[in-house]
Amino acid sequence: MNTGIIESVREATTDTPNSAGDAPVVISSYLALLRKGCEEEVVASMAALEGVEVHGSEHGQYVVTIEADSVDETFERATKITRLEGVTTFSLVHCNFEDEDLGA
Amino acid sequence: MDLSRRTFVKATAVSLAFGTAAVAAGCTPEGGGLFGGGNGTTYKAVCRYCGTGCGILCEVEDGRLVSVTGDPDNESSRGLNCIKGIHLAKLLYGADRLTTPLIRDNPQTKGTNDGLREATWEEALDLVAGKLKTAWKADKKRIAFWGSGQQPITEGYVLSKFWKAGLLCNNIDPNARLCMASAVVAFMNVFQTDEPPGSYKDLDQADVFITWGANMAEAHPVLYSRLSSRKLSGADVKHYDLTTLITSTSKDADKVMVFRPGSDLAIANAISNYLIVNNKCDTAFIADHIQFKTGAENLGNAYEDGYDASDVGKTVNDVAPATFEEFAARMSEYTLEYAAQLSGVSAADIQEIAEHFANPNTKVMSLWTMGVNQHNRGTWMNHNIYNMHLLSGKICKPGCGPFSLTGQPTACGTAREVGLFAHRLPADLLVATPQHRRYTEAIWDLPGGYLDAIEAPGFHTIKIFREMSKGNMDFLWTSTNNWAATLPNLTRFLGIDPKYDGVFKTFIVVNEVYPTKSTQYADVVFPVAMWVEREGQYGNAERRTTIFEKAVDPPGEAKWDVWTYLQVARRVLEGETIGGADAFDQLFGFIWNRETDDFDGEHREINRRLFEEYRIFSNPQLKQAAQDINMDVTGEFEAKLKMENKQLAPYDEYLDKNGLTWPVREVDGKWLQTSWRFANGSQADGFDEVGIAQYGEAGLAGNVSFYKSAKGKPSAVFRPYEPPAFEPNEEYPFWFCTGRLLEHWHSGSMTQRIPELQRALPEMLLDMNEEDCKRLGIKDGDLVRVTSPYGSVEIKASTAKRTAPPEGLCFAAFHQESVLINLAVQDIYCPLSKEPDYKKTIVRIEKV
Repeated sequence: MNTGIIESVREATTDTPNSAGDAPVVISSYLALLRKGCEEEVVASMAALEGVEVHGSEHGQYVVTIEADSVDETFERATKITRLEGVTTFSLVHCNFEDEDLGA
Repeated sequence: MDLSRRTFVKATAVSLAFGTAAVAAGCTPEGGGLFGGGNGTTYKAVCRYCGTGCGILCEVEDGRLVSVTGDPDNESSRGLNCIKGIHLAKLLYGADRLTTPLIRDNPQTKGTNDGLREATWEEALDLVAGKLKTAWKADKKRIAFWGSGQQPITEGYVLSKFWKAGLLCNNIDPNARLCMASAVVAFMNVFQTDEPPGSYKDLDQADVFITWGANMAEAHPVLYSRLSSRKLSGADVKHYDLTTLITSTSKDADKVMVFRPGSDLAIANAISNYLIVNNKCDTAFIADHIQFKTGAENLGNAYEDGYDASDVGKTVNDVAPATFEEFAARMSEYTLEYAAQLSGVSAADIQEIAEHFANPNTKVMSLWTMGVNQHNRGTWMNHNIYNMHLLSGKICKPGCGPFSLTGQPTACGTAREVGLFAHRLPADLLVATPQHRRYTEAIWDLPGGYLDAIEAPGFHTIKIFREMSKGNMDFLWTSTNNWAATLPNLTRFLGIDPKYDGVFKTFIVVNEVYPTKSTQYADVVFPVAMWVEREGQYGNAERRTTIFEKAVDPPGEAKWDVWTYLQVARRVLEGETIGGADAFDQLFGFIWNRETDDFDGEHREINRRLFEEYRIFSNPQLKQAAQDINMDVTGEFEAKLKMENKQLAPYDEYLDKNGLTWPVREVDGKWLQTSWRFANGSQADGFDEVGIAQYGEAGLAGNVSFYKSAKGKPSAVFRPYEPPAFEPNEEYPFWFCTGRLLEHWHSGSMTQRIPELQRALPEMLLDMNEEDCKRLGIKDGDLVRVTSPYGSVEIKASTAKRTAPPEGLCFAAFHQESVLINLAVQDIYCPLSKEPDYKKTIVRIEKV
């Protein structure tokens, strides 16, 4: 696991979730492929987004989580990441929305 | 969520992602299985968006979905899903889900949000069945069903059997006509089988990728991720993006070649010609495997409704055998310079690609989808891609091959494999071929000759709607599509042009999950189950059949589509007989209980019975009467059918596994899939060992045997460059190209029903070149009117470069109902496939 870039980013950013206590939360994880040569910069850009944390890389893929108040907010943040310069692909792995009343 | 639960959920999410990274890299994650830790019940599913077919694990607690996870055991997606997966579950729960049948009493309210009232199922079913029966008895040509590449396999199968055998009517076609028909016709013309020879595994091994008019990064993101992983793997892997405008897929390509719309035909031919004149063809492969042909040319375009029946329209499928020399002579016109002149791509760049094809050690993969298929010569362009691969022998080898990406989740599995087209029967069979009709009759227990009544193909999609617009259709039923948003030339088809008011006169039934543009034109709306509210099966672009399980109940009175088909069939076929027996019982007695007037079994069991009957089409050994026709034991036909070519496994094998790519072969008691068709090698390793042993020939060049093709040889057919249907001119100086964006799928019929989701979804904009904007005095965000010879639409202009068109071309996605871009899009279609060209309408743009 490559955590060098991640540690340097963590020092400069806060990964505190946007919600605290018993507030509803949607937690999701992703794999990101980043353009070669600009990984550090892109990791920093991702981690600077509210509720976004980069956990390291495995087999060239960066593991990212998003914590947000709702599915819609999660989608909004994920969309922002897909549009960051240097993000080649950003794929969903898992999304837990057990807190959210989807209307069922 | 309390802190400890939150910590646990987050740790699970992180752990799943690390494990999936290992799976995506082809490794087994430490600790084995990835999924676990949730409190709910997990159901296997497949994403219901695009044709990639990503596996999804749905976790359910107390009857509601609480999480989705990419299925690591699904070999198509290997644990990944695109970001649309975030709101897959939310789609089920929109506030305006349709939960009761609706009836429109006054057709004058069509086209508005008003006029539909709630009804009981009994009233709605009786009304629909009565209208259908009356119209059917009066004139079968005036009824039609428009289906979908999103209808699961068993749903399409029931529908096909009802329409073709029950009503003896071929006016049934899917929305796949709008996206994959050109690929289908070319597959049949070249290989005589409708399927890609390779699989997604080729993405992990190719040296060179060429995307032809395909924005894979947005339209097939998980497959693009696989391509990108290969590129980033350290190997010297190249990606060439051939496109008419810069897209997200262009961003990380090694070279982007922007070509003039329609000139891809010439570029591909120039590459083929380069191989020929430089003696770089794989001569051994050609000698063993390829037959050459020429075809009808100077086809003109389907400007008029009568094109198909015109002198030229009747010849479009004509081909004639040719020698290699004759083929080469025709191709010789396509020098690099000539292609450069037509396309605007430099001769050196075209040569660079050609040299990859010329190198026998380079594995080349061509990838394409709507840019090639939605083309006034879509079938020809598919041919021209195959020509390059056939001449160079770059096909049926791992990492090497032409790969047609598909648009919808089961365009392959249902529209194509089940055969929802106006000219098809299941499993590639054709209504026009006597042996195919006999085979189908044997499986459906119909009297010999019964299906001769449907030997003439029915109306293709555009024909159905052109006839409807002229008032020549009495009854139309649609399901799992949104025709009033996705058809081209909506100005005509929605009756906005007063010359064409047929939509107001036709009795229209729409099976739907949400109110859509199409329900605004419906006389009756049947509320139905969506995605995992019922069990179903999808067949994706790489021939993978995967079951999605029922995980939750549909809301209110919404029903499984199959239930609506059978309830109507039972009523319409009342009093009809087949071979002296009750027609409905003959066709559907094996799944229907007359006493309860409902399914004769649980959901899973009904799917199993339907699939097992459908499976006989590819397993003729299961029914002797079918096997006799398959093997042509009487000698009355020209050849064996070789129906085992697409062999499917028993239903329960798919439940046990997370999808299998056909043909699935039983070897030593195990069902093994096939990744590389017609390639000899171990079946356990994914090669076509069983098929070649049964019908092929060992020892041919490349260790390949095209046993399903006529004479064992696919056809390289010379197809020239012929220009687009219209070229920009003084009155209409722009090309208008339409397409898709990452965040949406389909016509927005689901994603746009969730108000909160709207914030996160991009508004549909007209992407324009900055120089064009300057010249027209248009600024970013200005409202503009796009006008074509077909109609006009107002839309905001954008120079934000989500896509970056060259001067003289503009682009918009089609997902937003309130910006109905298809009002302005032409309904010109490929003469062979009848698939419309959504990419090259000519327009003018004015600031509003």
